[in-house]
Amino acid sequence: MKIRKNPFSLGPMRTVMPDGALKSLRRLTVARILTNLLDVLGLAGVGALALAFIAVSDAAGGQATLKSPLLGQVVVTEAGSLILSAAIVGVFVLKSTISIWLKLRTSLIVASLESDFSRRLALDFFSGEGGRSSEEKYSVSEFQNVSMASTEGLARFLNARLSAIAEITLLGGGLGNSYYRKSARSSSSVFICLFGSMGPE
Amino acid sequence: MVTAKIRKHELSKLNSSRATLSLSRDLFGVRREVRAAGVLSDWIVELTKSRSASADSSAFSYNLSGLPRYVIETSLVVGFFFFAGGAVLFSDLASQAATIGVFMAGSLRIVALLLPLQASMNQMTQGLASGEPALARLASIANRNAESDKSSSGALRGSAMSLEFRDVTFGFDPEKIVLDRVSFTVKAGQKVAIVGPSGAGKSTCFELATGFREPQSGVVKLAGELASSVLGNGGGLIGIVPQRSYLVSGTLAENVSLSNRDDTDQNKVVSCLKMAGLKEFSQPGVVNMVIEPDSGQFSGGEIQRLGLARALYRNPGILFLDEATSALDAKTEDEVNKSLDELRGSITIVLIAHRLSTVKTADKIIYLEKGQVIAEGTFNELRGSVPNFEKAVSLMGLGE
Repeated sequence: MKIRKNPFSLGPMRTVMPDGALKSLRRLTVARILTNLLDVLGLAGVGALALAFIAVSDAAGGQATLKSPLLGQVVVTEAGSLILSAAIVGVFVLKSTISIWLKLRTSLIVASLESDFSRRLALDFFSGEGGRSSEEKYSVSEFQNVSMASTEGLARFLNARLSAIAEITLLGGGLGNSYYRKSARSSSSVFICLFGSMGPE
Repeated sequence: MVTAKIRKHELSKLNSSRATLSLSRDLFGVRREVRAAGVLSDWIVELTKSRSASADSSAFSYNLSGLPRYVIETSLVVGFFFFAGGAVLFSDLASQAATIGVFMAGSLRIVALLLPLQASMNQMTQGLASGEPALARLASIANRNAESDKSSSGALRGSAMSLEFRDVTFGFDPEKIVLDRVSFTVKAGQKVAIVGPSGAGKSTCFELATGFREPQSGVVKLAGELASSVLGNGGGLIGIVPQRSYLVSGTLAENVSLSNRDDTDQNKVVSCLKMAGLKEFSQPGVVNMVIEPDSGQFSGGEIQRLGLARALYRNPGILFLDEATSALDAKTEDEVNKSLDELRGSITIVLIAHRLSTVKTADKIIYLEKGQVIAEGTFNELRGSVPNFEKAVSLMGLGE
């Protein structure tokens, strides 16, 4: 059997994974990507907050007006900035809670897959499927290696693959945010269509 | 390049681990002989070699997996240096101060994001490399399952089974034939012994008759079904007592039923233990005692009789005993033989025997030599027709 060398490709793993587990993992991956959008939203909020603080500190009377093509003119006050910061904290707490739960769910599904792989290999080894005795094909040490060390490797691959996909979306958001911050003083935001270009009036 | 090297080291680690496991298993098996021969240090050197190869591969893999982190960090620092340098050289530093600050903050954030991503990528490479052998096996199992036709009959359960060898040829190595066109039949309910000198192919007959191996040519049938399909038919149709039985961790009852589920029939366990000559253990309370396999609670003979009780527990249609009574003393062996004789008719019994005292009462004896059936008949018939058999009978002091 040819094993694909592209680590992002599930390749032959697709054929050995039960459909249910595959679907669950896909759903969880999508959920993790969506959760990362919360992170990106929170980071955008941090940028907006920085902008709001600068604008408020520059303006007289603790009140400033920001201009956004999407939201129009936004009046920012000190109290409003504090509420925004509380909302950002809430977003990060929510993101972290959901992320922890999703990561745990993913790991548990991967762990059940790992056990299932070991079960199938053990069954094949001890039941001699395919007519000839499997004991002819494996040595005990090979069985131990394949059934334990190697299946653990597959689980590590699956967990890491899902994490990598989630991290890449976060990185995309991070890069956007970085650009957002870089241009904060002048135009402010590209950031993710939510805010459009926003700056002090 | 790093990925390829990590993959290489992961595979090497897996191979070294296998070698270590294999050596440890072998050493456990022959530890006394090794000590007696004074070659323990050689074994330890070999064991250390394979263990150290595995540890080295782990170390290389671990270090290689950390390499991209330094590349990322260095690239960002160098990038920052050029960015700041460019700002100083080609524009006003004061006007760029805020941008440089933002660039620094952004770089730190990106590093924080890149490192977990890089760690995940390494884990993927390592995981895929070490998972390759399991994946290849699993894919092969999936293909086999798709191809195999699981049409086996369930009508065999609960009655004595016949056994048929028809033109069976088998060799562990295709060049070295162990059984050569062997044919014989055992009728349902008969007690039949397969005898012959060492290397005659008796144990190979046992492996083929029980379905653990398939012949290179010819067929082995149990009650008209292929032996291998009977073996795969849910279990319990055949009973096996190997040359050496093993204890498992659990209660005595679990050792007999070979199941840790709650559905173990304790009365049946008791009757099987009695039938196997283990009367002293066949009390309802005693069958719940916990057994530690290496504790020495049971003698070799008792473990062997427990193996017989185990084989009888599921009411098999045919019972195979592969030199099963060779470890018993004469009195116990006689008791077990009497128990087997009581089963005659309700169950087919096939004895693979070296000690001829166990086969005297057999309905038929099949005499093998050099992988071929030389003669079949009762004990006395074989004494008259096979000189080597008669010689063995005399040597064992069984002649009258």
